[in-house]
Amino acid sequence: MVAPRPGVQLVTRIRRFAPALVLFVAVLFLWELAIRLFDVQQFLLPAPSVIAAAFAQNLDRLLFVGWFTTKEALGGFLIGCTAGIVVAFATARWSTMSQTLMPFAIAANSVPIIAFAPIVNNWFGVDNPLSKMLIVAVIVFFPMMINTVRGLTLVDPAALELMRANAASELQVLLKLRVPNALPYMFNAFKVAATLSMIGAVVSEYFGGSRSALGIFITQEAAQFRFANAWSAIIVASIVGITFYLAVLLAERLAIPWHSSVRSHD
Amino acid sequence: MSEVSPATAGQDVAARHSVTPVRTLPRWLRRVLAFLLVLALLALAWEGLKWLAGDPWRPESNPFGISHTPPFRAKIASDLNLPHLWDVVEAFGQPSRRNGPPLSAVLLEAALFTFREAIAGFLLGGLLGFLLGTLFAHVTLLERGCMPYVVASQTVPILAIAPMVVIWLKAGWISVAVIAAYLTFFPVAINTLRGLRSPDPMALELMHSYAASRSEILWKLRVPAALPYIFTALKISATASVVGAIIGELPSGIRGGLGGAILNFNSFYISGPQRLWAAIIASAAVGIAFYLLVTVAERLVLRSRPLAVEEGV
Amino acid sequence: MTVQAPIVSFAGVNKIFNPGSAKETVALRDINLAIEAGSFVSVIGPSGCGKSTLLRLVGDLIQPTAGEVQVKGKPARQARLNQDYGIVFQAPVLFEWRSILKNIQLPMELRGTTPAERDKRARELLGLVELTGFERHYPWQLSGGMQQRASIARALAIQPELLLMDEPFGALDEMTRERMNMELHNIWRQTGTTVLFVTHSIPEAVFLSTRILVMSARPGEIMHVVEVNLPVPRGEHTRAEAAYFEVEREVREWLRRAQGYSS
Repeated sequence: MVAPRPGVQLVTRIRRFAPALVLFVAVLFLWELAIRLFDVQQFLLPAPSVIAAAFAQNLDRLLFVGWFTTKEALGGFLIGCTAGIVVAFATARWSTMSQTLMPFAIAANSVPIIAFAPIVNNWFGVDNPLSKMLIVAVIVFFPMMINTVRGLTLVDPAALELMRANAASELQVLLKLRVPNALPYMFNAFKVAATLSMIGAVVSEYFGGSRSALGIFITQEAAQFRFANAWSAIIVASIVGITFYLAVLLAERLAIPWHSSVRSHD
Repeated sequence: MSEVSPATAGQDVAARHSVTPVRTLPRWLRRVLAFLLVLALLALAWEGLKWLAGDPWRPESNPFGISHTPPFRAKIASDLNLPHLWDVVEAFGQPSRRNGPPLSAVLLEAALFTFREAIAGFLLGGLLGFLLGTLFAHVTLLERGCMPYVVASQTVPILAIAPMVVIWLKAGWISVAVIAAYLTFFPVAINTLRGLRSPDPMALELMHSYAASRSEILWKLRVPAALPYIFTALKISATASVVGAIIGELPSGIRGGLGGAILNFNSFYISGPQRLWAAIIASAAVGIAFYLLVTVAERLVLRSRPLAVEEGV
Repeated sequence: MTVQAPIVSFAGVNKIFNPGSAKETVALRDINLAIEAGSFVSVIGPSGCGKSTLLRLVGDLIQPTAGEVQVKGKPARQARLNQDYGIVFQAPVLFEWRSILKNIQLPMELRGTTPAERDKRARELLGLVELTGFERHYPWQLSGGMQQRASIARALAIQPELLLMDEPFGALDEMTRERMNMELHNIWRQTGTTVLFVTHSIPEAVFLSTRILVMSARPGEIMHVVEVNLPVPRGEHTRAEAAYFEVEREVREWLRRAQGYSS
């Protein structure tokens, strides 16, 4: 099996995304055209050109509030994922514990955690980024824990027999078999967490937050009918979310190059 | 991963690493009991924290009639931040405003309001997603052109724009349902496509050998094969729909649902946080109930199949 | 004739799964056997007769309900803890996150061998199974036959005196299978390892073994022992010899009787 030359790989990749890119540009173009031609009310959905202008105009402020909220998202991601992994390792070790905790974690994962935003705002102060960080952490905790436990426990029984046949200790089974087996599951959770973090941070700010926050910027601009500004802020949130997701994809490619989801498909 | 070893052979090893309960209760019951056990432990931890570091316990304000001064003091465990559980329970029975109906009735109505939005959007989005997925499975040109776009659109933070969309559409609870539909639509479409494509090529050859028509292949082979995938997406969407419904309700126009209740009771936090907690518990209950509904539907539809190994959330 | 202690011995061994419940299954009943060091013993029998169970009892992967299993003169459990045997399953069971070289090194890592020694030995083993050049490849890049060869190399990593093999070539096509039989035969001759080999295939059992145990249908018992006195080294010529067909005939006859017990 010979890997294709890098140049060939790039061209194939471009060709795969070309139709989508074309469609995206076409939609933007048509949108702009429709608004100009038909003089559509730009009340809630301004023309792309107007949004672009608003973006350029507010760039400094957008970067400032964007970074503020990004820190909340990152902090929550780190806290939630770490906690999820630690609890998962403890849980997977004893099967009674995992039988007890997993149903709870799955149920808790279906709870709208965002509803707790007012509570943490009252605990730590509305302006405090820690409140939003905690919400993000809890949102991210459950998928991380669930996936990690599954990855550590759903191991090929034949592989477990092999380790037993070689007199492996529990620790060796954990380090050499369960953990590598769990990595693909964990990266699935990281991807979910990456997507949820920024959204979680922005949306939890809708329940109240600091004036330096992106979510507050959005609600304030929307309340004053400056929708182009609000949209440009949403685009910032989108970009951060996508970047975060791509970063996880890159990490996945580096960490588990052997996994079928990461290998190039012919 | 390699095949599983012969049934008898791997049994002892498998037994040590999987479920070996002492009691032989049905699986679902064990799960419910486990859930309740963890809740009980959390309740214990809650009151335990207040015992150690909360506000003093006064005999007239707790059901045990005891008086206690905690050895430590932590702001987070105060009666304001962490109300006693029995106070929250009591709040359910009290009216939420003067001469009004008890809180439980108010929250139930709000919960049903939110639930209606969520499930309407969920069903609409699910149906549309299924149709789109089926379309993509049959018309590869459409898929090639639109699929990357469909995937990328998942990164549009619909939750972030939910309040604005709700204002824009000006249709009350229907607008919120649209949010829920959006959140359901894409995961279902993508999973439908994956599921419809999942059958073994040999199964397809079998159908062709019977000269089965395209629609026969679709309904007799592809759709049944796709159902587990679709249900995975539906479980995620159920939760997302409830979150979307609550967020969509945040703008002042919609007061009938849980989002409105949360905002309302949040403004009365200082005078009594119990009602806010009650509203949050109601929201949690709606989320869990919806998820359970989908799970039960899944069990019913897929009842004849071997228990699937879940690959993750 | 040297009288050596058998490398594997079973004394009155029974194995019952789920005893006392509705799903109780008697897999093996009253097994007594002794396997000489250096021999190649195949176990053949109808599906579900307990061949794999027998193998796993030797490996202490399951425990007998009654009776005693000894390996190298010690209880099977002790032999397992001392890593006295290597095992090859039906599927290669290679770790997909490890290269071929690292997969082979697994038993040595578990034993605590130094990295330098591990590397050297693993490369030797790759040469033995004719996979030189594939050190850095990953399992998914290799064919089924090659993966099985790698798993055989892994089983031999710490030079065990006993090799347990559970239908290792079952998933391969006929020609690859015959080739693997030849290679396994050569490895057996070179290393002098005792092999306990579970198989479905009569030609395979006859070609490889010095002795064949024919088992009855469940509950499994050893119905008949066939001594295979074909000369060693064996090769293509062996399959054409009259004696070869004689042995095949004998095994086939007893297998037919073994199937008969179940109905």
